[in-house]
Amino acid sequence: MCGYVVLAALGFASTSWLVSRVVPWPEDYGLRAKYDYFKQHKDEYDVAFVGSSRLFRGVDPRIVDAGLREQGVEARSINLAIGGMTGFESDFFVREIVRLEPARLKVIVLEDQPWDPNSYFLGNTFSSRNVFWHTPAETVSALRSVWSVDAPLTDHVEWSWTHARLCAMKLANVAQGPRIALDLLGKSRDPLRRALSTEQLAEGAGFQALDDLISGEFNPWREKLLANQEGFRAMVAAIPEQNARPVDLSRYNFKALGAQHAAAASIGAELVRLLPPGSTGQPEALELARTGAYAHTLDYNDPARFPRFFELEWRFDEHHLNRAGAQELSRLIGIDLAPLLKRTH
Amino acid sequence: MLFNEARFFVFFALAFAVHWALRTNGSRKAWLLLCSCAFYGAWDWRFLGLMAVSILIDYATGRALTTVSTTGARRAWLVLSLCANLGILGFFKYYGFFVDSATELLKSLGFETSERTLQIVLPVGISFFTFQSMSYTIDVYRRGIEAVKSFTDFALFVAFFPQLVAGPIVRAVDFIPQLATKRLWRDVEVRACLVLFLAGFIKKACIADNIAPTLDSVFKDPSAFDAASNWIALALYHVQIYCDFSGYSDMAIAAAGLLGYKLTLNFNFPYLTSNIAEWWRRWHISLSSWFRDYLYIPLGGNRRGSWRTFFNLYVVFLLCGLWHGANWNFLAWGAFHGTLLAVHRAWGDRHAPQQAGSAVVLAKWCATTLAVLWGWLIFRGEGATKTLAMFEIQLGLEPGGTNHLDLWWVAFFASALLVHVLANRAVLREPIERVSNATFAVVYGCAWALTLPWLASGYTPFIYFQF
Repeated sequence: MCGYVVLAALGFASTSWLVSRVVPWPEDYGLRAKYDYFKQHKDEYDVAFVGSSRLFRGVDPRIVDAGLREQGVEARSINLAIGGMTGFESDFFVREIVRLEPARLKVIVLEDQPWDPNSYFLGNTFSSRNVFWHTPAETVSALRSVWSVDAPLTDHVEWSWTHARLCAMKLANVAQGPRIALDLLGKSRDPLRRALSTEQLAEGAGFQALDDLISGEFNPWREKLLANQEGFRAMVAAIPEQNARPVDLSRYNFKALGAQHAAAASIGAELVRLLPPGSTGQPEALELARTGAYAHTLDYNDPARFPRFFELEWRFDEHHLNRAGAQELSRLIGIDLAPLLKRTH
Repeated sequence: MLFNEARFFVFFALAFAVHWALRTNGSRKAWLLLCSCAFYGAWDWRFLGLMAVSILIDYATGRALTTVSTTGARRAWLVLSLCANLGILGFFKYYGFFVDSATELLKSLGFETSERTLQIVLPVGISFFTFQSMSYTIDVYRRGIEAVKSFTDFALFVAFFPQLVAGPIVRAVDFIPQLATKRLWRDVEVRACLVLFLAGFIKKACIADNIAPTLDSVFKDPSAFDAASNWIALALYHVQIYCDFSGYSDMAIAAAGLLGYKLTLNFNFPYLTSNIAEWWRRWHISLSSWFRDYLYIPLGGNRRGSWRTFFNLYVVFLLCGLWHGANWNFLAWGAFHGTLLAVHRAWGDRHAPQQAGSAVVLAKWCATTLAVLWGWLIFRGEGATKTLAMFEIQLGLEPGGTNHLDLWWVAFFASALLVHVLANRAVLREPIERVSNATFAVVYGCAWALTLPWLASGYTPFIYFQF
């Protein structure tokens, strides 16, 4: 009987693998659009930015390129950051970029994000987007993080079961049939209607300022900031104190970090950690930078050094910069990246 | 725990492996009872006690019926058991409904009433296991079967997890004898069970659950959709409820079969029938036969003249409607089917041609399907106003709204019907039986791999769980 079970499993696995070849990338926030665009133009870029909306809405590659040019470095960069991207999803995305073997890519600028196994896209645990990054490698990494968190055993078991299910759903292409069918019929579309067109991607190199969105869906965030300016200032004032807190890295997921660096190194690229201006401190990232675990770090989440990033004039909301803020951040990034790119060139 | 949940597959793999690894019949039954408790407890462990009370009452009644000899004492035990079972069912399922209805009635008459009623959780599967348990007591009382000596056997009969929460409602006479002998692996029709489980899974998870969100939007606000969409939504519900419930039954029968036990057939291609009496002989067979044997026939059935037959039909179908849930729409649905059966009985048989041509059969099929569809409208409708609105829009008496469903949903309905016809003719049976075990295993694995992508992304509980 065991033999037949093995045969059934083989039939299942091989068919699932074949089906997985035609499962399209999730369309949310232009994830698929950016990946497809980069796939087509992979050999044209030297720098890629990966992360969440804080990078998507905060880094304009054209200005980065201009900043680099001012420093005597000719390079092209692209913004591959996507709204709602979590640490593990970013890691998956980096691996997918590396798999494409882009010939010129020398630097991957990655937003600093914790290896938090329980942060999911829009809080929807079993969304297509969460399922999508649950490759066996990412799942093992997520499980490692699950068991490194201080929590009751029942939580560990529940979280592990959730990741195992997500991985199984990924491998078995669960609920992907309608998406495959629509894609084959050429009717695939972003369920949230936020996909970027090829023209937009070519023109803006993946950047889109929140000020430019006409849908108004982010306006409540803006209104929240305007209504709570004192609260925001208090949060900003607390950043230095938060950054000064002692950090225990004994349970940090160094394996995941090491694998990420190795993946980038396999195509000769360097990983740079970016700390964009936010509203909370990032002591863990600073400690990792201090200890050398992060080889290169660009820290702009510092109200003392960059006070204007924390003023309303350059902010769209508590978490994101507006167009003016993004322009300045991009200019600074261009200047700060130049020495590294000079070396790699 | 649902049959289409990931954890059920882990649970069943464990239950299956240990069951066949155990050597004695006693240990296997104890293991299955333990699994059944875990299965039910996964929903809410507190209600295990309720099920245990039901089991204890009927086990004790069964034992008592074998020891007492006088008719009066036997009847007293039966009444005690029925009162206890119906009391539990009535409290958990109907208390809120009757109190709310009485409150509404008093309010409409101008009396002051308190708004406070008990919010009672409906234990999953209570209607199923209560009816199953009651059938045992009645059969023992009628001396149709011997009372069970082993408590484990009786508890397993009531709580056997494949059929515990949504049937089929198994009769003691069919199930308990199977517990007497050790199940043998060589007697298990493995291929048939595996195919049946997959078929049930496809019906539930790939068809019923994918249809649900579309038709829900129409039933919620029928006047926002045009007439065609209102028809399509009703036709889709026709497909959904069949696929949901028969899919569950298929999985239940298959899971039990893989453990070596045979359960009663619950559906026999009901949508292919061309008269309503036949429909009821093919739809939810275990429930309709329960009502026939334990209510309709004891009331006199059709042996006491036409009017008494009509009365009996009404009583049975009102109660059948009420069994489905504590709501006026279920009662109305029962009354509607009682009327259809009474009309069929009074007129249908008398005017049926001896040898009907295919055109007549088709016309009868259309009429039956239309009647069943409107029955589902009453059953599924969200309140009298919306149900009536949907009905009026369908008939063109009201204009309806501008929203519309894509016509390709009709193809969904047609393909479901086609599968129904093909499955009825058992066209797949022969090739499945002809191939080698190795080929079957590979093809079966491939079939699952091609099925899972079509799972609905949202979660839809089994419709019959609420009954």
